Amino acid sequence: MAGLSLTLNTAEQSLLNTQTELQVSSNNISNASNTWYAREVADQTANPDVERTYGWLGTGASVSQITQVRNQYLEGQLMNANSDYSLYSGLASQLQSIQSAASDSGTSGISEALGTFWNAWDTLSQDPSDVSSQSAVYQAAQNVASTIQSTYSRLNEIGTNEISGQIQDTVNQANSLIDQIAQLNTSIVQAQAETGGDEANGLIDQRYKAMDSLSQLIPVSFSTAANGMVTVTTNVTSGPATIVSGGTATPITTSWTITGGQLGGLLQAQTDLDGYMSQLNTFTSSLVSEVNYLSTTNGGKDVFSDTAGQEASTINAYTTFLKGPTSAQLSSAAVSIANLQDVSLNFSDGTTGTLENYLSKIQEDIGRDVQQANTNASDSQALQTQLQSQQQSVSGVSIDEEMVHIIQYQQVYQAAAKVVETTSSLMNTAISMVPAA
Amino acid sequence: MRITLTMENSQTQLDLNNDQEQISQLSQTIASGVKFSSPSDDPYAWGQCMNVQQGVQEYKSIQSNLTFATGWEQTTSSALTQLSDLISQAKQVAISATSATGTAESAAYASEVNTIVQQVLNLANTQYGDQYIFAGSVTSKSPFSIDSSTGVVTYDGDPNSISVRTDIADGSSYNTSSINVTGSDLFTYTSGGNTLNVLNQIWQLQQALENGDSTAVTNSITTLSDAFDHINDESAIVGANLSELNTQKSAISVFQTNDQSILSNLQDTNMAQATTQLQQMQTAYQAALDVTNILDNVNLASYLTGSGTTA
Repeated sequence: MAGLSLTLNTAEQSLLNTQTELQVSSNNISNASNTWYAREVADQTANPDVERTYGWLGTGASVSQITQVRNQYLEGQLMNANSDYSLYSGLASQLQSIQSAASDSGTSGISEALGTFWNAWDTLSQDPSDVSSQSAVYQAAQNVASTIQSTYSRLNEIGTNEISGQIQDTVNQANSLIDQIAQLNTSIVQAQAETGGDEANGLIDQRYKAMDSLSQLIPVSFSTAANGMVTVTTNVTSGPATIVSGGTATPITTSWTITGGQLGGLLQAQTDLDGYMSQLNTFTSSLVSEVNYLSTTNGGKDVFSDTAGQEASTINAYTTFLKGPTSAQLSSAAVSIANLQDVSLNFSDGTTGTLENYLSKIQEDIGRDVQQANTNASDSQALQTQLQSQQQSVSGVSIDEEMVHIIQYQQVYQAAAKVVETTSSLMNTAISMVPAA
Repeated sequence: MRITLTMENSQTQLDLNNDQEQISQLSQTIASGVKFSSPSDDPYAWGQCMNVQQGVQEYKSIQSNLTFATGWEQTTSSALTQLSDLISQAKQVAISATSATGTAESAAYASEVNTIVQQVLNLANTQYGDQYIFAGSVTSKSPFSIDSSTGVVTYDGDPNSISVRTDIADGSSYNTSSINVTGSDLFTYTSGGNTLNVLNQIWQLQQALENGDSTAVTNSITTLSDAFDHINDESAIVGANLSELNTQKSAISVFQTNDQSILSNLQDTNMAQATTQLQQMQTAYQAALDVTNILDNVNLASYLTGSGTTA
């Protein structure tokens, strides 16, 4: 009987094992479309053999642990790719808004206003004392000033409203994820302590999900300690900075100079925007000082007014600068000023060229920056997709694979059930061998 | 390499998105007729276009100046021709008057010359549009008047020129054309070593005829001859200016055409090329969609449950 009991127990163990394995497969299948889920495998180890007169007899197997299949190196690489893609796609998106706001095709925007301005002076040179020609000059000057101001203010708004707001939002989001990771660290260690060292698979998946989401906002690198906790660092311009250590979270602030992820992209966009706005100031400064000089040299008064350092946002046109000079003086001023459109100037940022050259350079700079960001975004997206595939190849669930496993488990279960049935009827036979007293 | 559920979808999605993006871009270039709608499409070309546009707009303004200038010069030329005729007429009167007999004939001649004086004065105050063309830069008021009792000709204009730009500058040197004949250029001339005034000389003739001063009348034949030559000289200068301006107009016109063609090359969509590319992209996209559809149905689960479809 001891023999049959052993067989029954072994078969019973098989049934239980198979049920566990089926549950693991079922869990895998239900999580098949979660990219942050790492597939689980039920590890079986053989039970210790028992000694018999004829040798060692196996006693079946039992499920020793349920392990996840994951490759931390790949996960780290993937997080880098996430950060890069978020950086460039975020940057590209902001730069495109900036490009629209600053749009100037040569027949629109500041170029158009400037063209009308030069033409008004040309017309004035034909009849300097003509009131309607003079009025056209005043109008054109006002138009130039207001077009420059409104372009500048559109750009400024993108900086102060959109970009700043998004920076704050991103920081808040990142901090809540950082807290989550720190808490999960503590929970994982606790859970593993309770089960005597078994990995807390579900919690580890959640922590990976949090880090994956975080890697889109800021760059993320992590290393796993022996006790199962991760130390997470991010990148600032001076090097790596720790944000999670054990159960302690170090929140980031808007003053951290993060160099990657969505936050890095926003910070870069802000820097680029400041550059363009500064170029607009340089342009305006030259325009105002050159035109004013030509007007005053010919016996007239200043045409434009501006404030040093904030030229593009403060430029304004005077309304009586044509009163006073003689016709001959006005004629000379008109010819010189109309001529200014062809003169190569030295701008305060070191560039030389005509005013229109400078405007076209601004447009080219913006266009190139957008193009570069788009190319980088597309390249990093391709890399991200490739790494995602690799990571999924290791940790992802293959439905086909699980299907085959289920078929296997079904057959094992059926066979083990058959063993139970047979052993059971043998036991009955053995019992009924002994006649009733 | 294991292929999992999410892997198939993410790569497919990426590829389909890329195809769609290209199709969308090509459609836009065809619909709008221009290759780029924002600087990022082609930054260098965008910048070039802006600079060419600036030239286009400047040439238009220059053409307007040239039209103004040629109109002014034509008006000047016509006035000078008429002036020349009047001087000639006055000289004829002087010649006829030297053999005049009797005060009645003289009086008639004097009256004719008086009319000529008025006509010459009117010509001197010719306007082009609103502007007096012989007034220097003081074009808003009529420059010439004559005191009928003393013959003193008063010029209220100045010696300044009216200049307009007639070409794009190179560097900071202007290309302008000065288009007017000033009052002094018009009437001041020398004859027999003296500086004379054309209008005044004709007035002198009138006085001489009224007073019966035959010496003076004879004298005026010479001075009016010289006046005639002077006006013809001025006329020749104006004629040369006009000719130059017309040449310049044609030249600018050629530059304008060139610029338009440069602009067109830079920014116009090559329709044939774009539509061919669009068709290719659409075919590729359709093929990708078909493959996605086929692969979606090929998995083990659907075969085992009997709902598997054959591709």
